[in-house]
Amino acid sequence: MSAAVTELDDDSPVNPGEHHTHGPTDAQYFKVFFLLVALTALEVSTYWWDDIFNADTKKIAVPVLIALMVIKFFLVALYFMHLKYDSPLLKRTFYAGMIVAIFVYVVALTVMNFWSDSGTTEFNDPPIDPPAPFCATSSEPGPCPAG
Amino acid sequence: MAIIEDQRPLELTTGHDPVAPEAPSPLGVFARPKANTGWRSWVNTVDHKKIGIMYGVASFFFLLVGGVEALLIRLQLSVPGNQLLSADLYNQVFTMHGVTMVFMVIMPMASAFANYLIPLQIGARDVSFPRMNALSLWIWLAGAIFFNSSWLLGGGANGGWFNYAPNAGVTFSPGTGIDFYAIGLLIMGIGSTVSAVNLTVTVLNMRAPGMTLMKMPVFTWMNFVVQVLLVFALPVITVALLLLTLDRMFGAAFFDASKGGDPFLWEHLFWIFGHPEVYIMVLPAFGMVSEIIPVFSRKPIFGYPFMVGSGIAIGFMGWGVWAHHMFASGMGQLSVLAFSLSTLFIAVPTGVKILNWMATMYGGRIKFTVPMLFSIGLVGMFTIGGLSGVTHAFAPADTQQTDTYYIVAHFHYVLFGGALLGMMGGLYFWWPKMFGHFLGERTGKWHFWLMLVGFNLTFGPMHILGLQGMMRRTFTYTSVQGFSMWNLVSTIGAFIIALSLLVFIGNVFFSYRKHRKNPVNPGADPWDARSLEWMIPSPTPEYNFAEIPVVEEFDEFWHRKYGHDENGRLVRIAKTEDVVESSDPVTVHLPSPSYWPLVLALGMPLVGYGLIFNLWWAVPGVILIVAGIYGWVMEPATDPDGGHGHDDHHDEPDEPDATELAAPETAEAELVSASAGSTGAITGEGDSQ
Amino acid sequence: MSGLAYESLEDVEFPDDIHTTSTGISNEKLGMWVYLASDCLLFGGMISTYLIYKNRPGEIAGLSGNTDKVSEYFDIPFTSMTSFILLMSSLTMVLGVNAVIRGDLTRLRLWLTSTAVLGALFLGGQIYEFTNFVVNDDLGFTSNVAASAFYALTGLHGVHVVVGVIMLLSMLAISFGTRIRAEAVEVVGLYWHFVDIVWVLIFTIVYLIP
Ligand code: HEM
Ligand SMILES: [Cu+2]
Repeated sequence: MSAAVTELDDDSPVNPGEHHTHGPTDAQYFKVFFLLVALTALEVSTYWWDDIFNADTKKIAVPVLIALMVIKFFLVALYFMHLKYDSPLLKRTFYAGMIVAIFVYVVALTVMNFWSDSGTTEFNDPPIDPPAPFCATSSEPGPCPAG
Repeated sequence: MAIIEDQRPLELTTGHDPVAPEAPSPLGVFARPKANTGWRSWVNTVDHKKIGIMYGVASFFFLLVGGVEALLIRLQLSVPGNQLLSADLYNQVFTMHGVTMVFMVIMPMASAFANYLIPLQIGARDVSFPRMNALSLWIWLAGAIFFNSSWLLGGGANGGWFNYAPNAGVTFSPGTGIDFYAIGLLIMGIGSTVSAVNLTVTVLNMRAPGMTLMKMPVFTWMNFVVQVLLVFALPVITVALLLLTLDRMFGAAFFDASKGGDPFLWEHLFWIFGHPEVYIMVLPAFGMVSEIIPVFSRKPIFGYPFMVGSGIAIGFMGWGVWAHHMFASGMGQLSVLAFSLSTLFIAVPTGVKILNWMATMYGGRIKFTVPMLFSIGLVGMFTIGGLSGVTHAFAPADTQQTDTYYIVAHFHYVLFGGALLGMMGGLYFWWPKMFGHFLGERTGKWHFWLMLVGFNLTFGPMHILGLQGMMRRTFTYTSVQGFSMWNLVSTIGAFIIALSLLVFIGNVFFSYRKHRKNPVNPGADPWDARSLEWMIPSPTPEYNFAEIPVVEEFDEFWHRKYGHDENGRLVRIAKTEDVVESSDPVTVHLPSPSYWPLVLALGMPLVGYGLIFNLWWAVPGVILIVAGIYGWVMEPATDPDGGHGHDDHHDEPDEPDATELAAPETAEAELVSASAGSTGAITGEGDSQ
Repeated sequence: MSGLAYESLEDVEFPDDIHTTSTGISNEKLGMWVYLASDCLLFGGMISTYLIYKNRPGEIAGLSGNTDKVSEYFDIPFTSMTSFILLMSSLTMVLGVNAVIRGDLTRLRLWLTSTAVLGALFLGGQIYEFTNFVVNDDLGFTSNVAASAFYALTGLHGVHVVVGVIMLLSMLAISFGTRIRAEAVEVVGLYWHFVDIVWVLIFTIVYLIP
């Protein structure tokens, strides 16, 4: 009836779908999914760590969270998005985007002093002494001369 | 992109009545357009060649617009204390000039060549997504017109092409100009993204058998790098523009320091995009001269792997130098040092290219044709620009230079002396392939020399002015500053450039007239060239290759013509006529034309006007966009490879594919009419034929 | 219909351009991946913007309304639930892809529907969260830069989810109408998973890291 299907028929007489997809089976997908759920649960649990351990767990929780995030990211990308099974070209394409993104934004955040003084409204290398305000009535920089 | 594949796709295309191609179809949408000639064939085309030509025509139009703006700038600055333009108008004129030249001239002109040539050079019949290709053209054009319409609707953008915050905020720029900038660039960005994805996939996926990546011509390679750069750079400017739009229209304060925002973020986002962007503008021209110089030196390109490798290296390193535009922003010594170093390094692959071109010419039998002259011009002028670039890679020097005319001189030497000269050469070189006749060689030489002299007169003195301390973007100066003489020279130079463009327009016009009086087909291979596009008739037939070539070597076409004798000397092994393609295509399936890309694109500027003026305007815009998408999805595309086996449903007479074009007797007639039609579009004379 | 192993396969079309592209990858799939690579930089930019602004409450003059940091109002248990929902939708999506490869249209429709419903639930959660912030906590888009950055980032992600849901529903419609291409489902799936991994990043970086 349709030429397209007949064509496939020639290629692989048994199961026309099989010759171009070697993705995981449903059961494997479920396994990955349960792993993801477990990791997510662990992630969410960090929210209560302070209470549970009665201490400031931030120093440990943040690296753990980042590690979990990276693992989850790759689980989805490699298995659900088939990167592990598909052509390496696709992997390279996607990783190229990721690497460029991470590189430029980490550098930009660094230049903007994000890691060291995140939270100030001084955007950048704040001068040691705050700049003196300008005075409208005097041509010199600095506060208005007294009197 | 067709998600459904109707079993009988041709049902929609059956207009039955050739004079009424818009007759309603069974589905109640547009009838599948089928016109092959006339204006309709341009409006609904998905042919990469016609799309390329339209990019070219439109970008040339904007070159004239931007050129007039440039002349206004130069007139204003010709004498000290000039009153021609007010300070405010001056701000608008230089901003519109910059944005127009960058986004509406250099980039789309490069797209014109990329669209036209990439499929030909890799031996393909079209790009991988032909309808998306039309979509990107129309979206870009809609965005460009939208952006320029600001002149009539309250004034143009006035923040410079890099539009720094906080000047770009509503506090300092309450007019609508900068809104047009933000929305206009967002719209054009969508078009460019679509096109970049499309061409990236085309280069990767549509190559002829045997055409491995390292056998691709340098032009294709450079454009491939450019498309990848676009894919990664456009989202960054999109973020910046989105934040700007939210600031200006929705009351956010991302770039407003008085409310906790950070103007510095804009600078970073803009230049993370901006520096790759400068390579996006220049690499296509590099690709062109890398095709032209070997042909007219009659030598293969010197160091092909290095040529390709340096292009890739530039593409990579281009991501790590952006903050050299921000040396004076107070970003901290360590940052300045790091970016100063990385900028010095990026000059290396650029230098490799220049040396390779010279080595290609060295010892060659050089023919000084017009394309070759422009290419040599590029090599010389770009070198000057690259060297001044290196001088402001040194941060201490740059703090003196930044925001002076020295910077203006630098980027005009690289963009005009690099990108534009290269593309002018490209026009002369590929004109016979595109339109089936030569541009006048003698007029071309006038064009070249006038342009070169005018260019150097205009921008050369700016080095001196800049080092003397003349600031850019200042609407006038006084006579005691000592800038008067060189400014006058510069203005005179600008008018010489204008004259050279008039010579070019005259050349286009008169060579076309001459060709119409006495049509002489230049033949498939007028320059004795090297790459695949010269293997097929001129002008390129609609189906490109009657038979997809099988590639064995780099410079495949050349190797089919020439070989080496036992002493290693170059000998001809085949006559050109025997090598070029002449057979008729039998089973070529071309993608069918479509109106939907245009419909979809038309909605975008309406949404833009809606955001700026009154949201009601957005309603028809959204309706058009939704209708465009719906119609698009419901309309079956014909696969460019025709691999879906639709043959059994073919209804030959109604089929707008190439089989009927290729009937032996009509082929010649088509050739002439196609060339006439195409050229007509450029000179506005198309209907007189 | 020539002798096929599975009856329903006649409704499914498999890509045949695999044999004609230079890389063996279909244009659609490669195009989608290139687009997703590009989207990395879009979300990277938005996430960086949020990071820069997140600790800048608007104690500065000139701001309207609430000047607290947006992170003070996060409801982690609630967001964990919506994150879980989005994760689950990725599972239903891959099951759908496997179904269409098998030629099992019934299951395909089932999984497509569940994915779309889960996506819609996620969106509902986001709308609830936003309304809650605005109505109960008086924290609007323009309250302070941190809030603006938060809404911009999660809003942009939400727009991506909306587009994804529309694509899923279109796939569903097409599966009832004419023949559906297995690869179209897979490509939509790629987009959907990408939206999911972006949320994995946002959930950790924005919500969980204090
Ligand atoms: C040899 C390699 C190059 C180096 C080392 C270099 C270096 C620089 C530096 C350091 C600046 C900033 C100067 C300042 O604003 O103070 C600059 C500005 C600029 N460069 Fe280059 N450049 C090079 C090549 C190019 C190329 C190939 C292009 C474009 C095709 C280009 C286009 C520009 C533009 C447009 C600006 C000015 C942007 C503006 O301020 O409006 N440069 N260049
Ligand atoms: Cu730069």
